[in-house]
Amino acid sequence: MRIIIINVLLSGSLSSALKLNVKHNQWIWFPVAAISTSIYATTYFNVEQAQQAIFPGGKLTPAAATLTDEQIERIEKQSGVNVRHKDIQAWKVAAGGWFILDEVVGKHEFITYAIGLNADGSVKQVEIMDYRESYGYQVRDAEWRQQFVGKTVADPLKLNQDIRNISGATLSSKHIADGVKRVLATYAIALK
Amino acid sequence: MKKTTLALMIACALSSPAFADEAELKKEIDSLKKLLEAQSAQLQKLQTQANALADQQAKIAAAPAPTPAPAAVTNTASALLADTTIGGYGEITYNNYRNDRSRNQADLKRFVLFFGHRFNDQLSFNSEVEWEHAVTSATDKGETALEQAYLNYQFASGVNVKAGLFLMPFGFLNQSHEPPVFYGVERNEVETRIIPSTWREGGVGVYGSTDSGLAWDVGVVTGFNGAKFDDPGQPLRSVHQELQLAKAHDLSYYGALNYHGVPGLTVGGAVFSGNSFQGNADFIADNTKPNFSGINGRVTLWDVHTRWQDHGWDLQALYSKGRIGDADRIDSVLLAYNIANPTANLPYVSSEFYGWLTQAAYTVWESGDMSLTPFVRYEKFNTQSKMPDGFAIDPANADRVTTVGLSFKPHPQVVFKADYQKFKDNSINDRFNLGMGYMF
Repeated sequence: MRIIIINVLLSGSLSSALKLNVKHNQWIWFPVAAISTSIYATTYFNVEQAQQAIFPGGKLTPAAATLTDEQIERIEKQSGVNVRHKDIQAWKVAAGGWFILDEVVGKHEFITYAIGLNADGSVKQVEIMDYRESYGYQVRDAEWRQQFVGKTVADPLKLNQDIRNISGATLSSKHIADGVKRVLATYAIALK
Repeated sequence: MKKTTLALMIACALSSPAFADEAELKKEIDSLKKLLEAQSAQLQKLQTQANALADQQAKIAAAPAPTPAPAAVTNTASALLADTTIGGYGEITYNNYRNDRSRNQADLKRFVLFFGHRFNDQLSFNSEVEWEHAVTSATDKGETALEQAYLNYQFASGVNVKAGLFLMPFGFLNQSHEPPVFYGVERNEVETRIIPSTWREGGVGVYGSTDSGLAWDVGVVTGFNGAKFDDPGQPLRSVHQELQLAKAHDLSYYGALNYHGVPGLTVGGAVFSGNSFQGNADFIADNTKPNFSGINGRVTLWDVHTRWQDHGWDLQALYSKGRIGDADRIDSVLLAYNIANPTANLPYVSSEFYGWLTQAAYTVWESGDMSLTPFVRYEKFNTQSKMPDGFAIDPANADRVTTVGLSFKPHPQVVFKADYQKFKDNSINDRFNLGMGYMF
């Protein structure tokens, strides 16, 4: 029963995050002139902004996929992480590569993030689109996210092993590492 | 119906005198025949569709009534749940004192619930409700406390403003004190005796972080009430106010900086300062208490800390020092009071106190979500490192403590701990500890 509710929550939240990003898009034109856009960008990204940040000038075509039960089982086995969304929000990049949206729970609230994959399936870039909690926001730091670049489905992506922790943001760090691992397995099993 | 109309039309057409020529008439009949066939085929198709529809209707009628109501309820509930978050943590400990078994104790140390609510993308509420020692009543030792209750507003730039009761950004433990995130059954001595964890104040703070990984936090908050001083072993813990009818004559200021720009590394520090005798409020309310008139008793506390986590290693170091201004004048008042009231035995404040620790942990085994991490910690503290002239130092308030133990985590958010603590100067405190804890 609990799992069902969580699923509803997750899907509800992702769609609300997308909706919310539309709102942010409108926001951009007002206060940003006064505030550094680069700071703004690390805080919030809508889908379009995240796509342009990861694949500047790239042509992206929606390529949403729905996982079969068999695929879910294989992804979970390969990544060791639970699959919570059956529907994969993915875009294919004309020049090669993928853009995938995902979300994980930080400590208590959701973190919405985007992953760009190179044509060979390795991580090109990770962008935090929405971080809602009052603690642990350091996962947005560029240097920390840089650790994921080049990772493939074969990498452990384990906190305090090949991904370094952020003191005071252990759960957010771990859950993002888990999320990236899941996305890489999803790519290998269902999108490739 | 259509068929009849068509037949009549054909009949009319056949009997029409206009078709004099037989060949022409025949041609006309052929075309009408074709039309009739086409009409008939279309009718057949319509009939099949009508039958299918009827079947479908019958099936729907036979099936149990659809239940749209629960779906609506679920949506509302999930929307509410998505905005309101519940979390928590707790710990149960057992202490076995090697040199005084009468002190052995098992305790449901903490049971804590977090409640948070998000009003919109920018505005949220966070709180932490804590029960300590299992039972709270007039005759029991437990206590119920609100450790956090604040509103947080996040500007689009990522800068936040918080207002209410919140945790001071000092050291490692004060803001992250869930059992799975620290080593050792008991919280370390330095972040208990010098930094009075879990230390919170009421007020307003502004915080955020830069692109380069520098997190900052500054604010104006309530401070300590020096007139409450009753424990030289933990100077600030005994005078903290916890927003419990807190005397607010004197406000305090704090600032903290932490650098996270290199993954795995944290280097930071914090400082807090404010007067602590609150306009002599306690004496004004009750003239039988010591009179600290004209004394400010500024409390200043600072800390620096660093942590490095990489490839299974978790290395930490922290130094913290505190100062109580006017300690000589405060202690003179206390001495005069103790002399004038032979039954009174009020302790004397120190003018300085400090502590430092260094700790190393290494995860030796991991399998799936499970892990085993031994650690060793060495700490030194002195809560009376400087006393005003003429006031004695109690050696029980300084020690060097070595703690060796391990954390077994069946899941990253659940921990079982065991450790041994050796107190160099007061070996009466040597103890073996067991503990379990969780966070969610």
